[in-house]
Formats: sequence, C-alpha cells, structure tokens
Amino acid sequence: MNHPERGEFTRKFDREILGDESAAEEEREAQRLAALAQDEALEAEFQKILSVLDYRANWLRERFPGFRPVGDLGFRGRRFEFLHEDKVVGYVEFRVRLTDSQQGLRIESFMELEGQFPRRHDYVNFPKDNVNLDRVKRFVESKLLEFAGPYQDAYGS
Amino acid sequence: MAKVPLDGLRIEVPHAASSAEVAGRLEAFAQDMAQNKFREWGVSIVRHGETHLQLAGRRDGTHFDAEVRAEDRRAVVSLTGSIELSRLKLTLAGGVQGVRRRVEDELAATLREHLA
Repeated sequence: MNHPERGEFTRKFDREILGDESAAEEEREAQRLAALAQDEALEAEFQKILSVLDYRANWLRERFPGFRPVGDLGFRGRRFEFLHEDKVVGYVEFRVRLTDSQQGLRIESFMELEGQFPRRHDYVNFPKDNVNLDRVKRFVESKLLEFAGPYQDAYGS
Repeated sequence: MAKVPLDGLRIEVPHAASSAEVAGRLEAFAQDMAQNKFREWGVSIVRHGETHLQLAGRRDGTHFDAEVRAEDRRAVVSLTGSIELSRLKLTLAGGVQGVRRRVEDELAATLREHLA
C-alpha cells in the first residue's frame, strides 16, 4: 500500500513495528530529499559570500591598476593578487569552507605584502544556515583595507 | 481500532540558547513538526508569544495538542490528545506504553536537534 502522505513519525513507526518496506523506501527518499535541500541551502549561502567577493573584485579593479583576480583555485573563494612592475608583490585571499564541526561556515583571510608584512591569517564563522551578509561585507572590507593601506604606501603611484 | 491517550506526556530539554535565539529555535521545531514529523495530521501552529506556541493536529480518530514553551534554560512540550491505530500496530509497538514512548522519544529527539 502506498502512503505518500505519511509524516516522518508514521514512516518510522510503520518501518520499525510492521517491517513495512514501503515506509523504509519512503524514509530513504525523504532523507535523500532532505540532504539535497540542505546541500542547496548551503550552496546558496556559499554563493552569497562569493557574490560579496566578486563585488569587491570589481571594486579593486577600478581602483588599483596593479590588481588582478586569480582563477582556477583549489578552494572555494577568491584570490586577489597585486603587482608592481609585472611582479606579484602581495595578495589577499579569502577561503570559504565548512567548519571542522560541519555546523558553521568559515571565511578565512590570508594576506601577505612583500617588504611590509609576512603572511597574516584571520577568520570569521557563521551558522551554516544563516550567514549574516552585513558581517561578511564588513569582514571583507576590513581585510582589504588592512592590505590596501600598506600596499598603496609602498607601491602606489 | 484502539486509542492511545497522550495526556500527561511531558518532554523537557535543557538548552543554552539566549532568549532571542530560543524563540527562533522553537519556531523551527514547530515547523519541523508540522511539515515533516507529523505532516499527515495537518498540524496548525498558534503563537501565544515568542516562546510560547501551541500545535494542534487532527486526522481520522487521532488528535493532539502540544503546548511548547521556554522556561528557565529548558524547553518544555506538554501533550494531550490520543492516537487511533489498529490493534495489530498497537500490539507490535509494545502496547499503550510502547506507543507513548515512541511519541515521547520522537519529540525529545526533534527538540534536542533544534536546540543543540
């Protein structure tokens, strides 16, 4: 008998006490759909963060002639390089990933500027189903400003 | 058919969430109950306050009311109503106590999941 309308409790109940295979199949399908929905929701949160980084990439391009974004990264995020006389003298990198507990999203920043400061690292965490876009923007802006000042002082025209 | 009373079932789960946060989590718990756990019972949600909700569901001979509220560092769900099910299911589920335990376990697990 088909029970497309069964809720999770009844599916589990029927599977456990009646050995109802249709309930087990329904349960597996429901779990698959739930996992799919979770993946889609997580991907949407990733995309929200990446859109902030893309906006800032354009912003940097308009202001810094020595700026270039880098593609083909081995991680989710963006890497922004800064050149002087055709040589990369510094970079700011943002990596987006799940936290070790898998319960949150972490944005990590890495930056380095030749002759000014060695590799720096910072990060901010968010619940994976509720990324605060204003905090993302503030974090990204603060890291870019942290880099741009010394870069401008050392290499700006 | 047999009826299993739910009256007197009370589930308490401690939490460490702030009062603002716990309101959102109880709402998510209520939505999960309505849309997933007990979907076929047509659960409706009445909001008496930010941390005080009432869920009601009814289908065929089954009906229930669940009062959900936050108390000091705990979320509490109190149930009334009854579940109608076949005598075969009742026997296989371990009788009245078996069905009540399953309902209680499901609610407690769902509440813990949302308050974790």
